[in-house]
Amino acid sequence: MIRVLNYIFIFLVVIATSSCTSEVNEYELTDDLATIYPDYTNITIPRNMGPMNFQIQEEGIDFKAHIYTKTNSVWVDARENKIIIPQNKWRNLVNDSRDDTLIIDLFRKDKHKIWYKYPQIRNAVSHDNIDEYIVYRKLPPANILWSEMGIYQQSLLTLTTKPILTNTITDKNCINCHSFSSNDPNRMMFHMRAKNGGTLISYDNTTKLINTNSEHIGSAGAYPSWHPSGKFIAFSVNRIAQDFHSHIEMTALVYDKFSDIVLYDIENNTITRPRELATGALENMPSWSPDGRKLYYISAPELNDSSIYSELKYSLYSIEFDPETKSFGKTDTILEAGKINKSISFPRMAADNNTLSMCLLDYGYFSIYNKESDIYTYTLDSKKLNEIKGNSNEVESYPSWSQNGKWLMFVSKREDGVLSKIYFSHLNEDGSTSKAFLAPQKDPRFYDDYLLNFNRPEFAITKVELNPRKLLKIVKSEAQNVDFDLNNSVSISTGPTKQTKEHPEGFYEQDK
Amino acid sequence: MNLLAKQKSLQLFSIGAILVFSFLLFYSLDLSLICYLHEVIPDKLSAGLKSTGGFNEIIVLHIISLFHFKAIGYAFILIMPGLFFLSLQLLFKTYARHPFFQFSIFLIAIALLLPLFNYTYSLKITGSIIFSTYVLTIAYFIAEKTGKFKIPLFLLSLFVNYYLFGLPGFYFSSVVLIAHKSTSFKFKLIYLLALIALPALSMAANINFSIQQAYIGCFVSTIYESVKPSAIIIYILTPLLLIFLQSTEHKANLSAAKPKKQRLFSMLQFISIIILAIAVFCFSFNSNHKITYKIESLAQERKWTEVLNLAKQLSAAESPLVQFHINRAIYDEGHFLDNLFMYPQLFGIDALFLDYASNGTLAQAKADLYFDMGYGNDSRHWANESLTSRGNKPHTLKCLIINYAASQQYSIAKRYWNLLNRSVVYKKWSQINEGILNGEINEDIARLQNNFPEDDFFTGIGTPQLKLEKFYARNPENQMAFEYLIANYLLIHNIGKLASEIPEFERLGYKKLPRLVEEALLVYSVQKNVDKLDLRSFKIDEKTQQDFKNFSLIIQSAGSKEKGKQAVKSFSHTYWYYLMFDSKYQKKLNS
Repeated sequence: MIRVLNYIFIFLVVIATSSCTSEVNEYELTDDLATIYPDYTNITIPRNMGPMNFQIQEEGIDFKAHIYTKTNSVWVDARENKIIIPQNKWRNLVNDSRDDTLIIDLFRKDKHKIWYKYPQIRNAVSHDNIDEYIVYRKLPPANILWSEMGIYQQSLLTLTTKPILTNTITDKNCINCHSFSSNDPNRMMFHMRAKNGGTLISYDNTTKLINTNSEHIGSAGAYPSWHPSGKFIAFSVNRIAQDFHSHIEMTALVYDKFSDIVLYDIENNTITRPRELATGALENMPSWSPDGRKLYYISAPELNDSSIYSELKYSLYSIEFDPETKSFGKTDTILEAGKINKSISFPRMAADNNTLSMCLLDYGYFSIYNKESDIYTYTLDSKKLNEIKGNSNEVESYPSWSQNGKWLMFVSKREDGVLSKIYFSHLNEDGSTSKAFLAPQKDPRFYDDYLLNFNRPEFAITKVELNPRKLLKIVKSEAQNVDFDLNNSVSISTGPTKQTKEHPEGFYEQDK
Repeated sequence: MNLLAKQKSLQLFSIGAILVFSFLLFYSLDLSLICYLHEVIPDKLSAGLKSTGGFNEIIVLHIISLFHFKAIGYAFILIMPGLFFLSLQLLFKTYARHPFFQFSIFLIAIALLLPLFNYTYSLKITGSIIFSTYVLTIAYFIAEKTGKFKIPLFLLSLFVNYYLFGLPGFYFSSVVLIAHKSTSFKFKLIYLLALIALPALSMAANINFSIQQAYIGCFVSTIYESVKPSAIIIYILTPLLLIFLQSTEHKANLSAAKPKKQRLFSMLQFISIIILAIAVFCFSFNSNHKITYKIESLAQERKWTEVLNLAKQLSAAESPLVQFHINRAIYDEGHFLDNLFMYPQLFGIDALFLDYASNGTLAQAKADLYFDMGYGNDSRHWANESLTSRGNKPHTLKCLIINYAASQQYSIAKRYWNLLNRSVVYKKWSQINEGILNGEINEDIARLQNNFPEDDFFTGIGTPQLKLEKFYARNPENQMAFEYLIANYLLIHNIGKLASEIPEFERLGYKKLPRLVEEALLVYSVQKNVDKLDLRSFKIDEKTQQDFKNFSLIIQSAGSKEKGKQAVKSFSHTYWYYLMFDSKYQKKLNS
């Protein structure tokens, strides 16, 4: 019996040791940095982030990685050039560690069985946690047609991705513009177009499907921003038009024939169209400040007979808001497009109530089609506009902040100019940003075959617990009409907004 | 002949009938059309394990890709239903003495093969049922041989079938087990419970799986049609037949019947099987649809002469899409503006540009038109739309790879190239064309690059003429753009605009004006009451002038429009005939 137990013990030891990665003690040094994908070099990573798995894009018959901090260390064998760090080892190394530098030594074995060591890769580990989940829509690079689409959530801690809602359950309609109130997954909304049209709002265990459109506002609510109190949603109301470029470096142009901003009161199911935000100009992209006392938005002059698309530039404004009386106050110009010769889009205020992120592009607001679109931050107190470190020659768009305001997330088409992927950057104490890094995946080859766009990534502090089957009954029901608050509004039929159906003659001319 | 021998001969006959049926398939089935309509580069097998039935989908896509190799394709079509038929024989052997046993089995097999005739039916249903039956048969075989683990094996096979092959196969195998003669009432209940419980479990595992998807299945529809009759038949037919076999067994025991009655039953089955095979063949086979799909697939391969040959079998194109392909074939012949009306242009410019609607099939056809024309941005745009709605079809991927390589966006071109390179069938194409990812220029890339507009303009939506005018203005040597523009003016009766383009014919080196242009100019001169048009170096052919006089005389003397139409049938290839009788813009003209 003892002999049998001995054999079992030896067997277990052999299994255990064979699964451990042997260290490389004899090697030669090389001068060139190893090429790894995603580029996780010289970046700052959040302490609570899941394993930063990567591929080694070098020639060799074997690779190993020695990943360590001051206090912990792990050796990882490459499988098909992939360094996949086990979750528990990563936890010891980064999540539970107090060290602030993560070092990666990579080793390559050539065909002569000689090991080479690449120069060290050093990454900073930030004590600022990132929100646990990101929520995005996946869709192909098409402009008119769609088939299957859905809203998905990925845990940044475990890197697991799961669908929140796919349109296979909602008659293959178009699901878009998902949004949260202050990154709170219990307050989520999105629009549905085509079949089962309406805006679905799920908040504090209540769900409703509403129709925001009425003769008084001219179109349904589009780009949303949910007030931090959870009581209101500011929507832009846009008559959106689309056309296609013929120049090979350009794709599409999306612009508005008119646009305003309206305020939806969730509890009272009413919409207000405040005079201040429904002028003849093109108000768009509402975004609340974290304290809910200000609404940031962009605006461009109304289209007139001499309007040219390439001269259409949006400036950044803010307007005071009193949540108690639901009234808007003084308007401030934050950044004038004319002064920076750029158009502004997707403003978002960080938790510090001082740092605004935004896209700067040459014209318009629909930045995902503007190759030159980059992410900038603007600090209100210093009035300083900073370009983030993570910009590229391709599109950067849709910035958003983690709840603590320390992590900036955005999409970029830098890899191929067509497909957008999610990147993160850390906001440093001095207001600068760290080098952006691509969202990690369980399999570092994930992106090789991935042919969809990551669209509208939003942070969520915890998991979104939405049950699509419970939603179905509501989705299939008639959308509830919203009451228009005539007393505190200006109707589109009497206000200054012109419900233009045609673009001005010469609008499509080039900027001379 | 004793009963056993009779049964044996009946079985042999049924197998023979299946082979005859398969021969009919051979005869009528064009495997290339299955590839054209259903082929998508499959995902990795591991991806198929993430959803119920995903594995089946990938396996079926792999089999479809093998249809490119005819011998292998036909072998699959023969062997797979053959094995399916034999599996059913084994599974239902306890009913072998029932007079309608062979007939019922044959009916189930035919219902399964039905989708193959109609091309647009989903082969995933067929695959799901066939593979599930194999799994069940293996489980049945092991259980019979060992005499152990019968129930766990069957339950396991149900689970495997649902998870790997999806709902149709799961449903089929559940019904087989429930209705099986050897299944006691208690186990019938257990299988019924499994039939209800497994989809419910899958709903629990996938929060985005609706009740309809879990219990009715997403296989009942394809991108081409919403509900599949074949799916409904197989869903309803099999249980009905099994119930019939079981409930009538005690009454219809062949061995107990008189020899005369036995012979009658056998004869009835022979005749029924033959009638059924022919009826199914005739019922499901639509030659016009086949020609239409064939034209589409040939156009995709740019086999224009074959397109025109096939078009002769159609009295008129059934849809703008078919006419669109015929028009492209006429253009490729080199006499676009002479022969455009050789086929009735009933759809006007809809069949020239397909701008009347947007869907996946039209999107790829538009991408191909602009690809051949050298209009890179529009080709790329429509190919992306097609990819979105029709999936990773190899033709679309090729179109995107070349377009992106032409615009030197090699990273994205490489992503699509990787997909094609994974396919056994398209690996060769991707290897031959690998150089374009590194800047090599082939004929297509050169054409696209030569026609890239130097300055930008907007294409507009639903305004093909405007788009083409702008494109041609920037590419004045692009003969295809020019001729499509002229064809557009002809079709919408804008003869004045056409007349203003006469200098362009001269500049582009036309030796003489195309016949249809001459015919239009004669109409123009009558409309404008002009004796002599400024034709630059051209003159209108005497034969055309004489034809015009003859046409006018016949029409004038005909008395009524209908009589006139009959009288000028021999002029149906002329512009005058189009203007008077075929044009969809007639009302506008009359007004």
